[in-house]
Amino acid sequence: MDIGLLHYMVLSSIVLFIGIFGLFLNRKSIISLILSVEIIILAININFVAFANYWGDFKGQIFVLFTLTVSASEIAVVLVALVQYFNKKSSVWVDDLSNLKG
Amino acid sequence: MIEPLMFYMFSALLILACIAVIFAKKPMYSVLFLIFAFFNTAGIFLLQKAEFLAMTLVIVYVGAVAVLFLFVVMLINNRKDYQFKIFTKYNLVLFTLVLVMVVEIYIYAMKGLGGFATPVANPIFLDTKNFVHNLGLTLYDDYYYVFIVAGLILTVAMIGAVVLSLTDTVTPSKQQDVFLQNMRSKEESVVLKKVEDEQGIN
Repeated sequence: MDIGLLHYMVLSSIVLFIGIFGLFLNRKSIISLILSVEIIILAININFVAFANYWGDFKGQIFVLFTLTVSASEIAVVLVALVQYFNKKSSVWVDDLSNLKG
Repeated sequence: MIEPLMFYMFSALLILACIAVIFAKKPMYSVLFLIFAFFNTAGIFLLQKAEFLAMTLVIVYVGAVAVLFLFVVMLINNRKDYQFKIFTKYNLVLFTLVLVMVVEIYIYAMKGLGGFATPVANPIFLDTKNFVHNLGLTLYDDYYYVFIVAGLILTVAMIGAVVLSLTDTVTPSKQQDVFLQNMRSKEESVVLKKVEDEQGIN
Protein backbone atom coordinates (compact mmCIF):
# COMPACT_ATOMS: atom_id res chain seq x y z
CA MET A 1 0.00 0.00 0.00
CA ASP A 2 1.49 3.32 -1.01
CA ILE A 3 1.83 6.02 1.52
CA GLY A 4 -0.70 8.69 0.62
CA LEU A 5 -1.69 12.02 2.07
CA LEU A 6 -4.00 10.53 4.65
CA HIS A 7 -1.17 8.65 6.34
CA TYR A 8 0.70 11.86 6.95
CA MET A 9 -2.46 13.64 8.09
CA VAL A 10 -3.18 10.93 10.63
CA LEU A 11 0.41 11.07 11.87
CA SER A 12 0.21 14.84 12.17
CA SER A 13 -3.05 14.69 14.10
CA ILE A 14 -1.69 12.01 16.45
CA VAL A 15 1.37 14.11 17.26
CA LEU A 16 -0.86 17.18 17.68
CA PHE A 17 -3.02 15.42 20.21
CA ILE A 18 0.00 14.08 22.05
CA GLY A 19 1.14 17.67 22.38
CA ILE A 20 -2.29 18.73 23.69
CA PHE A 21 -2.17 15.88 26.20
CA GLY A 22 1.19 17.13 27.32
CA LEU A 23 -0.21 20.61 27.82
CA PHE A 24 -2.98 19.29 29.99
CA LEU A 25 -1.03 16.77 32.02
CA ASN A 26 2.14 18.76 32.67
CA ARG A 27 0.56 21.92 33.86
CA LYS A 28 2.83 22.39 36.81
CA SER A 29 6.22 22.60 35.17
CA ILE A 30 6.99 25.41 32.75
CA ILE A 31 9.62 23.49 30.82
CA SER A 32 7.18 20.69 30.06
CA LEU A 33 4.63 23.23 28.87
CA ILE A 34 7.09 24.75 26.43
CA LEU A 35 8.10 21.29 25.19
CA SER A 36 4.46 20.37 24.57
CA VAL A 37 3.97 23.56 22.53
CA GLU A 38 7.03 22.55 20.52
CA ILE A 39 5.50 19.16 19.80
CA ILE A 40 2.32 20.85 18.54
CA ILE A 41 4.34 23.10 16.23
CA LEU A 42 6.18 20.03 14.94
CA ALA A 43 2.87 18.36 14.08
CA ILE A 44 1.77 21.42 12.13
CA ASN A 45 5.05 21.41 10.19
CA ILE A 46 4.54 17.77 9.22
CA ASN A 47 1.05 18.64 8.00
CA PHE A 48 2.28 21.53 5.86
CA VAL A 49 5.02 19.48 4.24
CA ALA A 50 2.58 16.63 3.55
CA PHE A 51 0.24 18.95 1.70
CA ALA A 52 3.14 20.58 -0.13
CA ASN A 53 4.16 17.17 -1.38
CA TYR A 54 0.60 16.28 -2.33
CA TRP A 55 -0.04 19.32 -4.48
CA GLY A 56 3.54 19.61 -5.72
CA ASP A 57 3.31 23.22 -4.63
CA PHE A 58 6.03 25.12 -2.92
CA LYS A 59 4.13 27.34 -0.59
CA GLY A 60 3.83 24.64 2.07
CA GLN A 61 7.55 24.23 2.47
CA ILE A 62 8.15 27.97 2.51
CA PHE A 63 5.56 28.37 5.21
CA VAL A 64 7.38 25.74 7.24
CA LEU A 65 10.53 27.85 6.95
CA PHE A 66 8.74 30.80 8.45
CA THR A 67 7.12 28.69 11.14
CA LEU A 68 10.57 27.49 12.14
CA THR A 69 11.82 31.07 12.23
CA VAL A 70 9.03 32.33 14.44
CA SER A 71 9.18 29.31 16.71
CA ALA A 72 12.92 29.64 17.21
CA SER A 73 12.71 33.33 18.10
CA GLU A 74 9.79 32.71 20.46
CA ILE A 75 11.68 29.94 22.25
CA ALA A 76 14.73 32.15 22.64
CA VAL A 77 12.83 34.98 24.29
CA VAL A 78 10.74 32.68 26.48
CA LEU A 79 13.77 30.75 27.73
CA VAL A 80 15.74 33.88 28.58
CA ALA A 81 12.79 35.25 30.52
CA LEU A 82 12.46 31.90 32.29
CA VAL A 83 16.11 31.89 33.31
CA GLN A 84 15.86 35.40 34.67
CA TYR A 85 12.76 34.52 36.61
CA PHE A 86 14.37 31.42 38.01
CA ASN A 87 17.30 33.48 39.25
CA LYS A 88 14.92 35.47 41.40
CA LYS A 89 12.50 32.82 42.53
CA SER A 90 14.40 29.49 42.37
CA SER A 91 11.34 27.53 41.36
CA VAL A 92 9.71 26.56 38.07
CA TRP A 93 6.42 25.38 39.41
CA VAL A 94 3.51 27.32 37.96
CA ASP A 95 1.85 27.64 41.37
CA ASP A 96 4.66 29.89 42.56
CA LEU A 97 4.18 32.34 39.71
CA SER A 98 1.80 34.50 41.69
CA ASN A 99 3.68 37.76 41.94
CA LEU A 100 0.99 39.65 40.08
CA LYS A 101 -1.82 38.25 42.14
CA GLY A 102 -3.75 41.04 43.80
CA MET B 1 8.35 -1.65 -0.27
CA ILE B 2 11.08 0.49 1.23
CA GLU B 3 9.03 3.64 1.49
CA PRO B 4 6.18 2.29 3.66
CA LEU B 5 8.77 0.62 5.86
CA MET B 6 10.62 3.88 6.33
CA PHE B 7 7.42 5.79 6.94
CA TYR B 8 6.15 3.39 9.57
CA MET B 9 9.50 3.22 11.31
CA PHE B 10 9.93 6.99 11.45
CA SER B 11 6.36 7.64 12.50
CA ALA B 12 6.39 4.95 15.20
CA LEU B 13 9.61 6.31 16.66
CA LEU B 14 8.27 9.86 16.43
CA ILE B 15 5.10 8.99 18.32
CA LEU B 16 7.02 7.07 20.97
CA ALA B 17 9.46 9.95 21.38
CA CYS B 18 6.63 12.46 21.77
CA ILE B 19 4.94 10.29 24.40
CA ALA B 20 8.27 9.97 26.18
CA VAL B 21 8.67 13.75 26.22
CA ILE B 22 5.53 14.07 28.32
CA PHE B 23 6.09 11.17 30.66
CA ALA B 24 9.81 11.45 31.28
CA LYS B 25 10.93 11.64 34.85
CA LYS B 26 13.51 14.38 34.48
CA PRO B 27 13.33 17.45 32.23
CA MET B 28 16.70 16.62 30.69
CA TYR B 29 15.29 13.34 29.38
CA SER B 30 12.30 15.22 27.96
CA VAL B 31 14.53 17.53 25.94
CA LEU B 32 16.64 14.64 24.66
CA PHE B 33 13.53 12.77 23.57
CA LEU B 34 12.36 15.92 21.83
CA ILE B 35 15.65 16.03 19.91
CA PHE B 36 15.03 12.42 18.91
CA ALA B 37 11.54 13.39 17.73
CA PHE B 38 13.04 16.18 15.62
CA PHE B 39 15.42 13.74 13.95
CA ASN B 40 12.57 11.41 13.10
CA THR B 41 10.61 14.33 11.69
CA ALA B 42 13.61 15.17 9.52
CA GLY B 43 13.43 11.60 8.22
CA ILE B 44 9.73 12.06 7.43
CA PHE B 45 10.51 15.29 5.60
CA LEU B 46 13.10 13.43 3.54
CA LEU B 47 10.42 10.98 2.47
CA GLN B 48 8.34 13.87 1.16
CA LYS B 49 11.01 15.41 -1.07
CA ALA B 50 11.72 18.24 1.36
CA GLU B 51 15.44 17.75 1.82
CA PHE B 52 16.18 21.39 2.53
CA LEU B 53 13.59 21.48 5.27
CA ALA B 54 14.92 18.27 6.78
CA MET B 55 18.43 19.68 6.97
CA THR B 56 17.12 23.01 8.23
CA LEU B 57 15.27 21.19 10.97
CA VAL B 58 18.38 19.32 12.01
CA ILE B 59 20.78 22.22 11.81
CA VAL B 60 18.64 25.08 13.06
CA TYR B 61 15.97 23.49 15.18
CA VAL B 62 18.04 20.77 16.82
CA GLY B 63 21.42 22.44 16.58
CA ALA B 64 20.40 25.81 17.94
CA VAL B 65 17.00 25.75 19.58
CA ALA B 66 17.15 22.35 21.26
CA VAL B 67 20.69 23.03 22.46
CA LEU B 68 19.41 26.28 23.96
CA PHE B 69 16.72 24.21 25.66
CA LEU B 70 19.37 21.89 27.04
CA PHE B 71 21.36 24.75 28.47
CA VAL B 72 18.33 26.29 30.08
CA VAL B 73 17.22 22.95 31.53
CA MET B 74 20.68 22.49 32.97
CA LEU B 75 20.56 25.95 34.51
CA ILE B 76 17.13 25.42 35.99
CA ASN B 77 17.70 22.28 38.02
CA ASN B 78 14.46 21.56 39.80
CA ARG B 79 15.10 18.78 42.22
CA LYS B 80 11.70 17.58 43.22
CA ASP B 81 9.63 15.58 40.77
CA TYR B 82 6.08 16.48 40.14
CA GLN B 83 3.86 13.41 40.10
CA PHE B 84 0.78 13.83 38.01
CA LYS B 85 -2.12 11.44 37.93
CA ILE B 86 -3.23 10.47 34.47
CA PHE B 87 -6.70 9.15 35.24
CA THR B 88 -8.48 11.97 37.06
CA LYS B 89 -12.02 13.09 36.42
CA TYR B 90 -10.83 16.21 34.63
CA ASN B 91 -8.72 14.18 32.25
CA LEU B 92 -11.66 11.93 31.46
CA VAL B 93 -13.42 14.78 29.67
CA LEU B 94 -10.20 15.58 27.84
CA PHE B 95 -9.73 12.00 26.66
CA THR B 96 -13.31 11.81 25.41
CA LEU B 97 -13.00 15.06 23.50
CA VAL B 98 -9.71 14.05 21.93
CA LEU B 99 -11.11 10.68 20.94
CA VAL B 100 -14.11 12.34 19.33
CA MET B 101 -11.84 14.75 17.45
CA VAL B 102 -9.56 12.00 16.19
CA VAL B 103 -12.50 9.90 14.96
CA GLU B 104 -14.01 12.98 13.33
CA ILE B 105 -10.78 13.79 11.49
CA TYR B 106 -10.57 10.21 10.33
CA ILE B 107 -14.15 10.14 9.03
CA TYR B 108 -13.92 13.46 7.20
CA ALA B 109 -10.55 12.66 5.74
CA MET B 110 -11.80 9.31 4.51
CA LYS B 111 -14.82 10.96 2.94
CA GLY B 112 -12.89 13.81 1.38
CA LEU B 113 -9.89 11.93 0.13
CA GLY B 114 -11.59 8.67 -0.70
CA GLY B 115 -9.64 6.30 1.45
CA PHE B 116 -6.04 5.64 2.29
CA ALA B 117 -4.75 4.98 -1.21
CA THR B 118 -4.86 8.52 -2.52
CA PRO B 119 -3.68 9.45 -5.98
CA VAL B 120 -1.22 12.26 -6.39
CA ALA B 121 -2.80 15.46 -7.62
CA ASN B 122 -1.54 17.29 -10.70
CA PRO B 123 1.75 18.68 -9.61
CA ILE B 124 2.80 22.17 -10.56
CA PHE B 125 6.49 21.95 -11.31
CA LEU B 126 8.65 24.94 -11.94
CA ASP B 127 11.37 24.58 -14.54
CA THR B 128 14.22 24.29 -12.08
CA LYS B 129 17.24 22.09 -11.66
CA ASN B 130 17.01 21.34 -7.98
CA PHE B 131 15.31 22.37 -4.79
CA VAL B 132 17.47 25.31 -3.91
CA HIS B 133 16.92 26.81 -7.34
CA ASN B 134 13.20 26.43 -6.80
CA LEU B 135 13.44 27.91 -3.33
CA GLY B 136 15.31 30.91 -4.61
CA LEU B 137 12.84 31.53 -7.41
CA THR B 138 9.80 31.29 -5.17
CA LEU B 139 11.00 32.74 -1.91
CA TYR B 140 12.62 35.85 -3.26
CA ASP B 141 10.10 36.42 -6.02
CA ASP B 142 6.67 35.84 -4.52
CA TYR B 143 7.36 36.02 -0.82
CA TYR B 144 10.00 38.70 -0.43
CA TYR B 145 7.85 40.68 1.98
CA VAL B 146 7.36 37.75 4.33
CA PHE B 147 11.08 37.04 4.12
CA ILE B 148 11.95 40.58 5.23
CA VAL B 149 9.38 40.44 8.01
CA ALA B 150 10.88 37.16 9.20
CA GLY B 151 14.25 38.86 9.35
CA LEU B 152 12.74 41.64 11.41
CA ILE B 153 11.18 39.13 13.77
CA LEU B 154 14.55 37.47 14.28
CA THR B 155 16.20 40.83 14.94
CA VAL B 156 13.59 41.79 17.50
CA ALA B 157 13.90 38.40 19.20
CA MET B 158 17.67 38.74 19.36
CA ILE B 159 17.47 42.23 20.86
CA GLY B 160 14.83 41.04 23.29
CA ALA B 161 16.89 38.06 24.42
CA VAL B 162 19.97 40.22 24.99
CA VAL B 163 18.04 42.94 26.83
CA LEU B 164 16.29 40.40 29.03
CA SER B 165 19.59 38.92 30.10
CA LEU B 166 20.97 42.18 31.48
CA THR B 167 20.83 42.31 35.25
CA ASP B 168 22.14 44.75 37.77
CA THR B 169 25.26 42.71 38.39
CA VAL B 170 26.10 42.25 34.73
CA THR B 171 25.68 45.90 33.81
CA PRO B 172 25.82 48.00 36.96
CA SER B 173 24.44 51.43 36.41
CA LYS B 174 27.13 54.04 36.70
CA GLN B 175 25.05 56.89 38.01
CA GLN B 176 26.28 59.61 40.29
CA ASP B 177 24.72 60.03 43.69
CA VAL B 178 25.20 63.75 44.37
CA PHE B 179 24.03 63.49 47.98
CA LEU B 180 26.67 60.87 48.77
CA GLN B 181 29.28 62.91 47.05
CA ASN B 182 28.40 65.99 49.07
CA MET B 183 28.35 64.07 52.35
CA ARG B 184 31.97 62.96 52.09
CA SER B 185 34.03 63.98 55.10
CA LYS B 186 37.71 64.67 55.33
CA GLU B 187 38.37 61.62 57.50
CA GLU B 188 37.10 59.08 54.99
CA SER B 189 38.70 60.64 51.92
CA VAL B 190 42.25 61.67 52.85
CA VAL B 191 44.85 59.73 54.81
CA LEU B 192 48.25 61.08 55.79
CA LYS B 193 50.99 58.47 55.57
CA LYS B 194 54.56 58.73 56.68
CA VAL B 195 56.84 57.39 53.95
CA GLU B 196 60.42 56.18 54.49
CA ASP B 197 63.11 57.10 52.01
CA GLU B 198 62.86 55.08 48.77
CA GLN B 199 60.10 52.91 50.16
CA GLY B 200 56.90 54.00 48.44
CA ILE B 201 53.35 53.25 49.42
CA ASN B 202 51.67 49.92 48.62
